[in-house]
Amino acid sequence: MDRFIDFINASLPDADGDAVLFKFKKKTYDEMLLRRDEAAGRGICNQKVIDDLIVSEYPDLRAEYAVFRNKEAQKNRDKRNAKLNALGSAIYILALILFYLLISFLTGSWGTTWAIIVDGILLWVDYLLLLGVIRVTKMKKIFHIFARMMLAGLTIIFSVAVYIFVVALTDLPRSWVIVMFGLILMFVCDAAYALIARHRLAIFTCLTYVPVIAVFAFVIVGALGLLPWGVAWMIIPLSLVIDLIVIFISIAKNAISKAEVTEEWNEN
Amino acid sequence: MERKLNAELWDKMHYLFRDFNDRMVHVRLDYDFEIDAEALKTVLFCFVEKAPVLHSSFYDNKFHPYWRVENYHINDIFTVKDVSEETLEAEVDAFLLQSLPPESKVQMKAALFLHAGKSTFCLIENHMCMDGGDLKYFLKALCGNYTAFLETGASPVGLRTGSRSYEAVYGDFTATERKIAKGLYKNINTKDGHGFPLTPDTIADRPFMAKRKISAQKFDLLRAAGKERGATINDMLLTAYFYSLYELAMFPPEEGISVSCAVDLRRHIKDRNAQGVTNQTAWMQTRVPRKGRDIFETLDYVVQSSNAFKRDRFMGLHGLPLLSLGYKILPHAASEEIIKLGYANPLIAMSNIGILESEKLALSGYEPTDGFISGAVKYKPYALLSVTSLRKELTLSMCCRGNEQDKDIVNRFFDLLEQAVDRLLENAEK
Repeated sequence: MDRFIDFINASLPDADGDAVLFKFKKKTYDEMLLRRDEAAGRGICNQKVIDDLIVSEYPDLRAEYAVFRNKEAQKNRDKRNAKLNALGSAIYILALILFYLLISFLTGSWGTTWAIIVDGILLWVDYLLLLGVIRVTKMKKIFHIFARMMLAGLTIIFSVAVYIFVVALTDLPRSWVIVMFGLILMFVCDAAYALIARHRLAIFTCLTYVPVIAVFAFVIVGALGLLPWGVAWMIIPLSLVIDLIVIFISIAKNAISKAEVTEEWNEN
Repeated sequence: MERKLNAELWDKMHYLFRDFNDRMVHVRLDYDFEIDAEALKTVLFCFVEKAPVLHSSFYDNKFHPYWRVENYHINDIFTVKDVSEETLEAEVDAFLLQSLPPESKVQMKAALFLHAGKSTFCLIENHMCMDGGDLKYFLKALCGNYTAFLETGASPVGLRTGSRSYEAVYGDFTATERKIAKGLYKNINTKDGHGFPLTPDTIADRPFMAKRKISAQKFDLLRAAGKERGATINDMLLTAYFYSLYELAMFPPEEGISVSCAVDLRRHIKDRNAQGVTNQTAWMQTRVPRKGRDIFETLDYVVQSSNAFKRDRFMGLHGLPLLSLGYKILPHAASEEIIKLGYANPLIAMSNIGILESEKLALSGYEPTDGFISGAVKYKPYALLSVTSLRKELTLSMCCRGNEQDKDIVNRFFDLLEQAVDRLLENAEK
């Protein structure tokens, strides 16, 4: 047993009062003992070989400790943030209700102040979704689909909140276009996420979204009377032209890069 | 606690090949002294512990397959047997031609046959765990650690460990190169109906291994003759393969045929120290447009075809992103079906595993007197010619599941191949 303790202490000298270091060393030692029991059942009697084998499985204990320490710190941060968020949410909801009641009693406009409570809750949901997006983004790419779904929800909820605010406080005609803008924002955010997170084939996501966004843009432009409907439809074929230009530029860029790499390769 | 390992892309691909071969890679090394069985057992134990995939069972989970690390006893992996010279070959064949199911708790088996003061070391392993390239490294490390263990008492723990991911091939590329390589979405498999002329499949077929040797003297001549024509040893052997196939299968001389050659993707990895044992092999499809008026014209076609591959910075990497995408975006069961639709397993293939360095395979100073590595037992109509060399002596081997007639066909093929090699040497000898 001393072999393992010597190895652990030599790699990581004790530091007074360092609880994380102690936790790591204890964990490592327990793991090593478990491995020793496991290896003992394999039919090999040479204890020195078994111990050396187990020690060799920890080629850089300091680096492993650094990772462990970071994880522990992150875990503590997450715990603290979760507590703060829970407390902050409770205070926020309470403050929102008080604000709603205060404004409603002061103005007596109960017919419009409902928007405060609805929008306040929607924005709180958006904040929670944003936390979810950040958390999932830190995970493996395979889980990013959930981040993208949350991001889509976030943008839609935000646009609905703005729409409710506008409907409650103004008589703007065709205010529903705000939701249409929200849908455009949803596609733009999703494409941006795919590009920033370097998702595989993100360019195809962008190419697909351009005509979809164009359809929404057509409806908005037509509905707001910015262009006559008979002209506004041109936005849709124009989006396809944009797609073609993007495809052409990508192919040309790839071909140039490939030619450069090939040339360099052949020179070498 | 249950321990799981990720099933890497090539693990899954080789699992997909279960309909084409038995996935076993075979090794035989002969030594002129009696190997210390206990020491070898200890080294094997350490190596299997260092590469846990070798004592894991494959779980064909329909969504996400994985390896589950299993408990085992070293006797499940290593056996020692005293045999007579008369029974040695039968014992070796019986050992080498067994197959380990991917669901079994160990993916490697080794046997030591002791006979009249000599030793024959045999090993089989699941190709899903590692390819010929890493198996050669594994054997060299095994021998080196065995010697050091006996001579200095150093514990045999010198086996590389680390990631088994196929993505290591991109690690040493520049950002631009990586971007291009990861964008090579191309199905590299082109179907060619020309196959090895074996008999139709029957349920009575049994695995067999046929071998032929080409002497060190011929090896030197072959290399010199190739050099004159800008051809490598691989090109020369491939030419002999093509030429003998035309004659054996009686393909019309005006028809083009393809032979897929295994390409070691480790050429793209500069530092392999952080890599665990794994598969890093792809195929390059060498094609000749016609037989050629003589074997030298065939050689010219082969050189042209293989040089076209060698000029490619991303040799062997075409198709990897497509495979990876196929496995990533769909559940495993669905991705297998989709990949099967686009993947055409080559009917005729060659794997030049390369040089077995005798000095690095020495045990306690004794170099192997003979040895080879051979690929999986292919199911008809597929055929794979494996090539290794030890002290410049080439061993050509072919493992098939067939009958006596197939054995004769393969031996006739080796006769023709030898004749083709001789033709290639005609001018050189003059």
